[in-house]
Amino acid sequence: MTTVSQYQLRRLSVANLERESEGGHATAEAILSVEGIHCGRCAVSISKILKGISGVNDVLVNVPVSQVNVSWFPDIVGLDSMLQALDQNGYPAQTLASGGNTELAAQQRRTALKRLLVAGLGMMQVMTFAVALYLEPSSVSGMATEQFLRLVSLMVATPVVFYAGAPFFVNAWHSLKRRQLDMDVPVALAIGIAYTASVASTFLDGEHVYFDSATMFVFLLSVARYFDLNARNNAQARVQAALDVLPATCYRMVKDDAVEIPIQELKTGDVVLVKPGDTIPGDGVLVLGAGEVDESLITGESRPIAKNVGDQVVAGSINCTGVIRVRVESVDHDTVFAAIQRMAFSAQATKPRVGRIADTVAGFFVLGVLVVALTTGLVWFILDPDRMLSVVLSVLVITCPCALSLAVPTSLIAATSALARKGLLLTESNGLETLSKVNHFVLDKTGTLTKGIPRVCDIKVSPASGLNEKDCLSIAASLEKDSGHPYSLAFSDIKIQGAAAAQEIHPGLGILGEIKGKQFRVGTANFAGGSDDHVLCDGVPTHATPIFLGDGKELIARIDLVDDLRTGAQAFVQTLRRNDISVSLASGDHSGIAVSIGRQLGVETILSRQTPEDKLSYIKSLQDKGLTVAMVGDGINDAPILSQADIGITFRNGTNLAQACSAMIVLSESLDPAREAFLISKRTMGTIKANILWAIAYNVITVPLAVSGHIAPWVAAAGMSFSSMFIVANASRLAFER
Amino acid sequence: MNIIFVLIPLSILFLIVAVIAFFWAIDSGQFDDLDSPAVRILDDDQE
Repeated sequence: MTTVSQYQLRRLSVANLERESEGGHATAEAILSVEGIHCGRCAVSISKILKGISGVNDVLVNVPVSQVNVSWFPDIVGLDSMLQALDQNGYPAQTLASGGNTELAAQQRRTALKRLLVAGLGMMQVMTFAVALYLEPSSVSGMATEQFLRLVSLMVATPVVFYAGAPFFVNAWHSLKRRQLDMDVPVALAIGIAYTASVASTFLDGEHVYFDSATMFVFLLSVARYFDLNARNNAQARVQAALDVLPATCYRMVKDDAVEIPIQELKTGDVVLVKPGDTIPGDGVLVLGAGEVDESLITGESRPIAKNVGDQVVAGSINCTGVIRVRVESVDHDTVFAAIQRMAFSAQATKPRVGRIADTVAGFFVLGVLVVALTTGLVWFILDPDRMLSVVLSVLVITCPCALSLAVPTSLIAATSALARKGLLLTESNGLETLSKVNHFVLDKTGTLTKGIPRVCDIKVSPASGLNEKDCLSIAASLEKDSGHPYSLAFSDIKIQGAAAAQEIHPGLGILGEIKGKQFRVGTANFAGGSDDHVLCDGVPTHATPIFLGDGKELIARIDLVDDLRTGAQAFVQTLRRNDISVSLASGDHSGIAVSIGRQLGVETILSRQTPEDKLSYIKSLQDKGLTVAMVGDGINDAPILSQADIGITFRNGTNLAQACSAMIVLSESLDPAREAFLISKRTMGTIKANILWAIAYNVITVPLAVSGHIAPWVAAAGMSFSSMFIVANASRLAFER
Repeated sequence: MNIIFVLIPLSILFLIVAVIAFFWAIDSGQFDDLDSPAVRILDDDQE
């Protein structure tokens, strides 16, 4: 079953080499893809299982993507014995093959779909027989018809229970082996009881069969599990996409010739040629050429950074201008980008997880059911052995935790579909539960609260120049056109009067060019006008970034650029404040812009000039105070923070890594879906609590009646179906609410 | 009413055929990707 791929081997040897030089023992490291991780408790038991094996050094379990990061001493223990131990405890595992485990995921999905199909078709068939049985055919056409209908129901229900319902039994068995009572135990118990009682009834001429309840239950839960599986697979696919930021090939210089090689063959010390628009394949030093490099991937800084010979460049950044040559100093796992990825994933694996309501309730509930059923059986055995079987059956059917097990998944599915309609994708199944408990929001600024696209807000022209505002904008637009600079976006819809000739880009300073025979410059005050001591340089509003137009000797105009607020930002912050949730703004920008945006929105805590590490420790400090923290951000530099926060929210046009680390992705340009998600999460938790309360209240009322022998098994079955249907209906209200 | 002793087994036979057909469709990958075939016509032809 386990194949260690070429990629994996390379990883292992890299890890080996790294550690051997540090200490005496060599360690190896691998990422395993593990089935059956549902919640924080599974994570705890997996790390217990693995750490119980001698020779295992460290274990990190990443719940949302079902992956385990393990490191071990190969001279003491082998990977095989770890996989075996996991398998025995109900967590079949595989090493993560290169290119992701898409084949494995597809196989899982196909099996789940088959199970769903068998459950769905079987349920429909059994339901039609059940309707006939409700009408008591024995009174119309004799016992033979009734017995026949029971037998065909049994025939159809058997594959539904044992094929479609198999995962519930397997999971329940493993959870019992680990001495835990999670949600699968009551589920398996419910299916098992309903099915066994019906089989007994069929052959012993009992009062009633419950095949309809059993199949309906298997189907509804299979639907929930299927959506859950899909969400997990999507999350895994996004993680994989995030790893694929680097190009597949690069150009290595061999005696002045650029030769295209696969990136895997790139070694430290190689000199690579990077064309404009290409991604730099490894960390290194610029050895020839100069240009601007977009490092937004790493630093979040949206302005390209000027690089000259001798400057450091990092893998994953994009060369914006001019052909450059880079001497590579570190590749693959040693790059800054890989370090950020590791930081993001280990933050995700170690973050505190909010416990799920259903799992906490389930344990007690199952124990209660079993105790009540056993006691009832014993008492009736003493009082009236003839009625014992039918009374115990009633009790078991009445207490069948169908309603309880449906309470959470149906509500979550309904809420998820409502969210999708409002433009928000949920990638972590307990995202809504976590979001409803959040009491502190941390917001990134650029690209999150603001659009990340500059706009011209004001222009001041020097009267001495003899030009008007329109001319100045048009000149600036011609110069900025095709520069690829983010500022050029501000001029994209300004009409150009004449194209610029002899354009030159001066990294970090600005652009110069000739328009109708006259030279113009746009950029910093020094670059454009030769000095920053000018009346135009005064009075720049705090929320704006100024750029200057000049002829090289004198300044002509100042153009103020602003980054507008995202639509819905104001309403989002207001909604949070109204719900007594504290909000802080963490920005990498200088304090003037951060404070002005923060004040405008009414944010209480404003942090400026924050590095990713600053933000990470800020969130950790909030979590240490016992707060549940949500983070909204979009860049790669936000990824570790999105992971560390209890829940991360990002945007469709955010980076892949940010999406891989977030539980929620906003699909529109506006922040409204995030606000809706917050409100819906509150409502969903309300519905879930109401549903659980209903399930429990129903039992509290009916169990005493059943125990005392006042409820016939068929009434119990009808009651069970009714209470399940009530819960499904209550949950689906969420999907239709506006 | 005796007709149901024929019709119900017949319906179960249909059920089995439907399940087999779906299993075949799933195994041959027809449900693996439900999104991209709809936009495939917009792709440029590859020789």
